[in-house]
Amino acid sequence: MVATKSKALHLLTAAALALPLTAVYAGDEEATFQYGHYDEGARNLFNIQSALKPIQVDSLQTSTKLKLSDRVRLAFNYTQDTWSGATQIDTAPLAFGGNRQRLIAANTFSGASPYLQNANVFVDKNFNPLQQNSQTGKFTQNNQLVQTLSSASPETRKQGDLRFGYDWDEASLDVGAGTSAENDYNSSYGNVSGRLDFNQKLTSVNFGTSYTASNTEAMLDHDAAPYIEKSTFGTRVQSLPNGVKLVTGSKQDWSGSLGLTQILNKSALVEGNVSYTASSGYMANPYKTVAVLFVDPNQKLGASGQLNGSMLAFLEQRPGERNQWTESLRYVQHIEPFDASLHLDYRFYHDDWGINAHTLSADWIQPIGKSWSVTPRVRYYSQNAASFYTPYVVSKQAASTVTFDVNGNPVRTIYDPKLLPQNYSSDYRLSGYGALSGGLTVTKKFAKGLELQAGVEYYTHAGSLKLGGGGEGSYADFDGYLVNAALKVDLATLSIANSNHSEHSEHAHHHGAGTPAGVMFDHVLPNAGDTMVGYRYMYENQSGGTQNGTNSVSDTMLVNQACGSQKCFVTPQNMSMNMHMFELMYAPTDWMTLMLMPQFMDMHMTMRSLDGAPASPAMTTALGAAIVHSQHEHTTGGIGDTGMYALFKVFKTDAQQINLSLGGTAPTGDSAIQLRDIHQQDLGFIHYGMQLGSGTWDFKPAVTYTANIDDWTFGTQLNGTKRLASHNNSGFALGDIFQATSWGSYSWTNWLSTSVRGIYTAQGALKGAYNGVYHQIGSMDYVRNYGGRFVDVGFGVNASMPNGSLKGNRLSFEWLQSVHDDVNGYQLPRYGALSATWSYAF
Amino acid sequence: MIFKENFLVPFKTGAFFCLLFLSGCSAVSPWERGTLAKSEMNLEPSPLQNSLRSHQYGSREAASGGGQSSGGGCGCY
Repeated sequence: MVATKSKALHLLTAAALALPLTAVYAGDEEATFQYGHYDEGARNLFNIQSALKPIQVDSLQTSTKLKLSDRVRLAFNYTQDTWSGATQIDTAPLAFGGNRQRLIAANTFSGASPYLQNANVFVDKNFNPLQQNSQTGKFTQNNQLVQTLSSASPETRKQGDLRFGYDWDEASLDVGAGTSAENDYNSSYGNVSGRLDFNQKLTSVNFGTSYTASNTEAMLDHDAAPYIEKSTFGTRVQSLPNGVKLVTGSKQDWSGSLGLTQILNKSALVEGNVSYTASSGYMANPYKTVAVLFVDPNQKLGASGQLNGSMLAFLEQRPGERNQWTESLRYVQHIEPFDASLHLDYRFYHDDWGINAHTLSADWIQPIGKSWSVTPRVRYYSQNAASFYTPYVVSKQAASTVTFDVNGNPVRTIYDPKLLPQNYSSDYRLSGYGALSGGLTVTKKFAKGLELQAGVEYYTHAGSLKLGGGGEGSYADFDGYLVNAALKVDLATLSIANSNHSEHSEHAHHHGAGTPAGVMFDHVLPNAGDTMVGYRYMYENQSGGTQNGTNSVSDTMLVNQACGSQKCFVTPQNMSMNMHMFELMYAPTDWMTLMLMPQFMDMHMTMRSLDGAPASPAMTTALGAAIVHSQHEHTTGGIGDTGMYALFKVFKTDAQQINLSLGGTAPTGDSAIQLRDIHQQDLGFIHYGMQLGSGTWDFKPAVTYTANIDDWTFGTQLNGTKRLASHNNSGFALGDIFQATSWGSYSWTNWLSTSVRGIYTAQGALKGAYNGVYHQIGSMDYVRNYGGRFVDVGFGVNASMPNGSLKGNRLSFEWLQSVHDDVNGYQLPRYGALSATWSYAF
Repeated sequence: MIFKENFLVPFKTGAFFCLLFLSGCSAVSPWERGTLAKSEMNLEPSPLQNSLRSHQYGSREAASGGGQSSGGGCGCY
C-alpha cells in the first residue's frame, strides 16, 4: 500500500515537473482504438415522401505512441471512414419539382431521384417562382426552396500518418507526414511543429507549419451527368471513351500557426493561438451543382401574368484562392469544490470568401471516485454566408433562342455563359446558419493502465440559429448524432506494473510465442486476474481467372453456365477484404479466459464484362442499370459481427496443453446493404459476399493442442462455424465452415521465431436467397457459387519481447498462400491472405 | 476589401493575449503543479475523440482547422 502511494506521488511529481508540456499529459506511450458512428436525420423534402437513407458514417481510428529513447517519440495514426446515404446535390424552388418521387407499389416509395433540368417553369414579373395547380392551371407564388438530394453507394477513405518527435529539456520538435486516399480524392501532407518553454515552464510558445497537396479525380454521377450544362466545364471536365465525365483538379494548402500557453496559477492555464492557411487550386465539390433559372425578360407576359423560364444545372464554381485566419483562446480552470475541471474554448474564423465564424464550447470534466469521469459538453457555432453563396441563380436571358438565317434555316443560340456570375455555390455549408450541439462522455479507468471511453453528441444545424439572425431558410435544417467508443492502453503504466510482476515475464515469453498470426483461440491466460489486449489485422484477396471446381473456365462457359438458367453479363475480377479485430481478454480464474472481439471491416470488388455476354438491356431497366453500375468498384465497410468466447484450459503439463474455446459471434455487422438507385432504378441488395455480417448468430467452437520441445513448438487446431439460423433477416445464411490446421515453429532466439503452417478449410454454399429486390448480373449473385474446399500454406514470423521496455508485447505476421482451391460452382480463386497481430499481456 | 478590414485582427488579438498573460499570472513552483498535472486539466484531454468530432464538424462547417497545423484528407460527404 505504502509502496503504491509513493509510486503515485513519484509519478505525479515527475509529471508536474514537466509542465506545461501538453504532450506529457496525453501519455507518452499509449495505444488507442476508437470506433465512431455519425447518423444524420432526414432532410425536409416537403411534398415528397423519400425513402432515401440520410448520410451515415462509420469511422475507425487507431493511434500508437512509443518512446524510442528518453528523448525520441514516435506516433502512428490510422483512420478509416466509410459513408453512404443521400447528400444535397443542389437547391431549387419547390415549385420546380427537383425531387421526383417514384412509386414502386401502392404506398411504397423508392428513393426520390434528382431532377436537375426543367425547361418549363414559371415566374412572375419580379422573378418569383410560381406554382401551377395541375387541375385548375392557376398560378400561385411559392418562394419555398428545397434541397435536391442524390444518394451514394458506400465509399471508404483511409488515412495514415507518422510523426517523430524529439524532446529537449525546455523544447520539443515534431516532424510528421501522412497521406489520405479515397476513390475520388487523394491528399498528402507534411508538417513541422515545435514548442519552447520559458519562465520555469510557466510559459510555452508553440509553432507549426504544414503543407498539403490534394488531387480530385471524380466521376460525375451517372444520373446527373447528362443533365449538367457543359458550357462552363472548360478543361476541368474530361470525357472518357466509355462516356464517363471525369472532373479533375488539384489544390495546395500552406498553413502556419503560433500559440502561447501560460500557466496562470495553481489551478488555471490558458492558451492563445493564431493560424493562417493559404489555399489555392480546385476547391469546389465536384458533385454539387447550382440551379440556374433562365428567364427571357423580353417575352410577353402570359395570361396570368407569368413568365416562362428554364432551369438548368451547372457545376458549382468557387474562387481559386482562399486565405483563412483563425484566432482561438482555450482556458482550463480547476474547480476545487467539485474537483472538476472546466474547459472554455472560443475560436474566431474568417476568410476572404466572406465567411466569419464563431465557435464557443464548454466542457465540464467531473471525476467520480477514483476511476470514473463524466463530461457534459456544449458547443455553439455560427457562420455567415460566403459572398458567392446563392440557393440558385436567376439569369435574365433566354436559355436558348431560335432565329432564322438568310436561307430561312433555324439557328439555335444558347445563353451567354459570360452573363453568369463568376462564382456560385448552393452548398449549404457555405450558407449562413448556426449549429448547436451537446453531448456526454463517460470514461472508466481500469487497473493496469486500461481506459474505456464512450460518448454521444447530438448536433443540430439551423438557419435560425445564426448569430444575429438572417440565416438560411429552414428547408436546409438538419440534425444528427455522433457516438464513439474508445479503448486506451497506457503502455508506460503497463511497463511499470509489469516490472513488479516477475512471473508474468514467463508467460509473456512462452505463451503463444510460436503461434502463427492467423491462429486464434489458442491462448488461455495463465493466472486469474490477467488481462490481454490485442489487435489483429487481416487482408484477403481473390483474383485471377474464374474457376469451376478446380478448373479455370472461359468467358463463354461463364456466360452460359455460371448463372443457372440465366446468362451472366459480368464476372468478378478482384475482391479484397480488410479486417481489423480487437481482442479484449480477461481471466476470471486460472482455467478460463473470457474474450470479447469487436471487428471493423471494409470490402472492395471490381467486375468486368464477359466476352460473348448477351447485349445489356437498356439503362432504363433495373437490370441494365445494375450492369452499367458494375463498371464502378463496389465498396462496403463498417462494423462486422462481434465475437464473444470463453476459452478453457482442459489439459496442461510443462510441455503440452489442450485448450477448448466455446462461443460465437453476434450479428452486429450489416447484412442488408443495398446499392444506391441509379437511372431511377432500384438496384436492391449488393452482392452476397459484400455484406459485412452473416446476419445470424454463429456458434464457433475450437480445440487446440500445443507442444513445446526445446526450441520447437508444434500445434494443431480444429475449429468450426455453425450458423444458428436457416436464414437471416435478408433471407439467406452463409455456409457452415470446418477448418483443420497444424503448424510448427522454431525459436531462433528468445524473442524471434518463424513458423510454417498448413490449413484445410471446407465451407458450404449459401442457403436461401435475398428476400427483396436484387439483380443477378454475374456468378457472385447466385447462392450456389459460394464455399468450397481450400488448402493454404502459411509462413510466419513472430517476435515477443521477454523483457525490456517492450516486455509483454507480441508482434507477428503470417502470409497464407493459397495452394489448392476447389470452389463450389463458379468463383474467383483465392490469391492469398496476410495476417498481422499485436498483443499485450499484463 | 475584406482582406484589408480583417488583416489586423490577429495582431490585435495577439496583443490582447499578451496583456492578459502578463497581468494574470502568478509564479507557480513545480511542487505546486499537482492539480495542473491531472489528465483532465490537459488542454486536449481526449485527443482521439476530439479528432473524430473535428472531422465531423469539418465535413459540415465552412470554418475548419485553426488549431495545430496538421493537414489531412477530405472525407467530404
